[in-house]
Amino acid sequence: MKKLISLLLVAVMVLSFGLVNASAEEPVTIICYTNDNANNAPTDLKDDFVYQTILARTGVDFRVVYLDEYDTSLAARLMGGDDWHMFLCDADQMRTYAAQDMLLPLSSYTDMLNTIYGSYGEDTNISALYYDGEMYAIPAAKAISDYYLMLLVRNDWNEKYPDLKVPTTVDELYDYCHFLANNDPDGNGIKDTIGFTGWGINGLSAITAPYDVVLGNYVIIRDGKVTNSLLQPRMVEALEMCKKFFDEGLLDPDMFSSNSQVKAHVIACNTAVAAMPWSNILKAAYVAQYKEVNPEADYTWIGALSQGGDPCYGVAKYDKYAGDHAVINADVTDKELEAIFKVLEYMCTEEGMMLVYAGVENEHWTRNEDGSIALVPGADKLTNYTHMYQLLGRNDAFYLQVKFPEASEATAFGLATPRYIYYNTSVVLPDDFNLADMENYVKTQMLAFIKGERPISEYEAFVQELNDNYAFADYMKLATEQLVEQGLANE
Amino acid sequence: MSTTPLYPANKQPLGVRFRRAMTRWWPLYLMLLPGIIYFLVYKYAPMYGLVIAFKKFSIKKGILGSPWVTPWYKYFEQFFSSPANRNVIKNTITLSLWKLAVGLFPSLIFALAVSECRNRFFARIVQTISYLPHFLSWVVVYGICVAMLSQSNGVVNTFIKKMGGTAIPFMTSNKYFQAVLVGTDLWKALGWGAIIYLAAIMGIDTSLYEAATVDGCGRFRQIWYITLPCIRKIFVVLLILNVGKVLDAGFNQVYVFLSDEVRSSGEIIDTWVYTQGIGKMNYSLSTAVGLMKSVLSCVLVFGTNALARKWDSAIW
Repeated sequence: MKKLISLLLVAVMVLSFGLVNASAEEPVTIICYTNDNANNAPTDLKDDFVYQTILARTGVDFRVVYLDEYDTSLAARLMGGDDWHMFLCDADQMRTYAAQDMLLPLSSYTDMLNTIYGSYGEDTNISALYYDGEMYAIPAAKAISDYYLMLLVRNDWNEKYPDLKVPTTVDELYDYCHFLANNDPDGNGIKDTIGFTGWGINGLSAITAPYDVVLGNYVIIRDGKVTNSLLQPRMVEALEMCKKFFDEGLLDPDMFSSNSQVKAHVIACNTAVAAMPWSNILKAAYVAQYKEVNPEADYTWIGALSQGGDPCYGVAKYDKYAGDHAVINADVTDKELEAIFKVLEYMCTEEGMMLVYAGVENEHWTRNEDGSIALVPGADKLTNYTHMYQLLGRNDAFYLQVKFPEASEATAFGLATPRYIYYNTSVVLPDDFNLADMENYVKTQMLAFIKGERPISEYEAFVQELNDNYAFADYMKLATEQLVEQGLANE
Repeated sequence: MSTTPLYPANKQPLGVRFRRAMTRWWPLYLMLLPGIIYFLVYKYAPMYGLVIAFKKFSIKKGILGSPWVTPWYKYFEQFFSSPANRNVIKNTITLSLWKLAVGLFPSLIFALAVSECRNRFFARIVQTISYLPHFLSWVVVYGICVAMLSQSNGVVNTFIKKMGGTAIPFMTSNKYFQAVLVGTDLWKALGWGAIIYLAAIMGIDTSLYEAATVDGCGRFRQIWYITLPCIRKIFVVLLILNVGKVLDAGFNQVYVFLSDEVRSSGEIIDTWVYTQGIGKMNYSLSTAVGLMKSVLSCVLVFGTNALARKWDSAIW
């Protein structure tokens, strides 16, 4: 009996040793934090086909974890010593973390970088990937979401009032909004039509950009000279136009305050003009939403307006790399780094790229005879979270064509329309320069001018305040030096 | 003849007194122990982190490894030198004082009304309903506020418009924003704040009222001469506690309600610290401001207590 027991014990020990060994073969786990909120991502990894495919192809347990309130949650996780290997961040955050030696320098991994460039393309201006002469952010082909903003109007109302001129200038936009807001186009007997809406003060850029002005701190280059939107000669004119919209009650009263962004089906009920990304109105899913609330509603877009200058829709960053990038923990083990590179390399293959774009071939999409891609009917609902895995970015024009064929005309139009190019992201500020305070002050004062809480005649005094209290002149000096040094401007 | 003890009872050495107290009252001290441990672990031990107010904090180097900053008051100076912060401090103090001034009496009056209500069943229902807002999160309260006060489709403004008036931008105008914050805070805290007063009123000896009735006192005189003097101490205790919170002004509430339009009247120290310090990884700055707030709050509490002592209502 004793022998049997000892035999059993030995057997258990051997088995458990085997199990320990087997566990050593388990896939390496990589955790990557993201701020890309995919509402429709499966809660269980078993149902996440992107995760499962990456696991099957690379043998890496690659988990992309979304964090709410990203900046603070991320800082808390890193502070709290949570286990992490990668995270997504913008250039400013990258520089902050790199300065603390938390990120892995990437310049020496040329093979990896060349693989990425080979698949996703290389941009010449990549300063946003660097800190102190070293590359810390993984290059990524960025989505050009700045180019999504368009002026959306109600086609059904245009048809209802054939004499109403579809606006091409800001003055005409005013008349257009004024007419619709006062003539009850939906015929419900209530004066509830909103003239113009958008997301926050940026929404007004469609009105002000034709004046070569945007209401905020935007570093721009005019005639080879570095200047700022706030210093442009037609600022007062633009503010007066915005005030005219406000005074006449044409601006959506909730456009500056709404903490959650205005939804398609809400504005579709009673809004004449919306300055919004097409992606929030013209996608099939949103169209279905607003059609449900108001079957009559039919949104279309109009071209950028002009007002004594070039037409322009709104702002766009000069530096396409200035969006979010993935960075790697400086303390990853060799094995973990190998696993990360394996996943990135897989995302550079055609299969991997299509996986994070549109899913698995023949299951979610098929290739037509001419080589173009078509989504399998119903697949859009299954694949509408894959964007959270796009750590290397995407070729936007191709991606949008595949994913949202219904909006391909709009996206092409948006991409081709001129934008108000700004260079803020190419300017690196010293640690103790508090830009956020200045920008907050600018925002509050701009709103005060528009709402009549402060007379527009005090605009010059306001710029003087920026110089006296917020070191605005120093900021511009720094911006000029850096942009000239980068060869983007002459003076 | 009784023998004189070597040491008078309260002059014995500390060790002896401690041991005696321990042997005599050990069950009480044992019950106190978890509380003491809780405070040591969660309230006092983390305080060593306060040193980062004087250090250039780096996550990698940790609290003790981060280098000291020169001059040591750099982050305090950074906070005070920014022009935005004058406004932030002003907003915090005005908002808190409004909340203090407006919030103290309604709870008291409500408690008196409930305690005077003859129909106990009705009083209980009113009391329970009045607690409910306390359990709602500020996000929910914000949702209710938007539904009620939104300029475009809020209930109040729809009513105003139907009556022929112009919609009032309650949530988006600097003119009304602080009033909305004070009002919603009052609505949320009214019933809950009355609980302590009600408990104090219940504790008043009923024979006092009986005697007053015999002497011909009406209800108002009973309130004036018996109820109010009996709960005076509680009132002062709550006042002292609330004065300690003057620099807080309610982070959760303001953070949820704040938008760019009302930033100049709504931004308070805590929301500024949250966005500037924690959001932008500037932990040293946020710790410096937090430390400063705690020291000032402590001074205020001590000051109010000293003042209260004059009317014999001090906490200690």
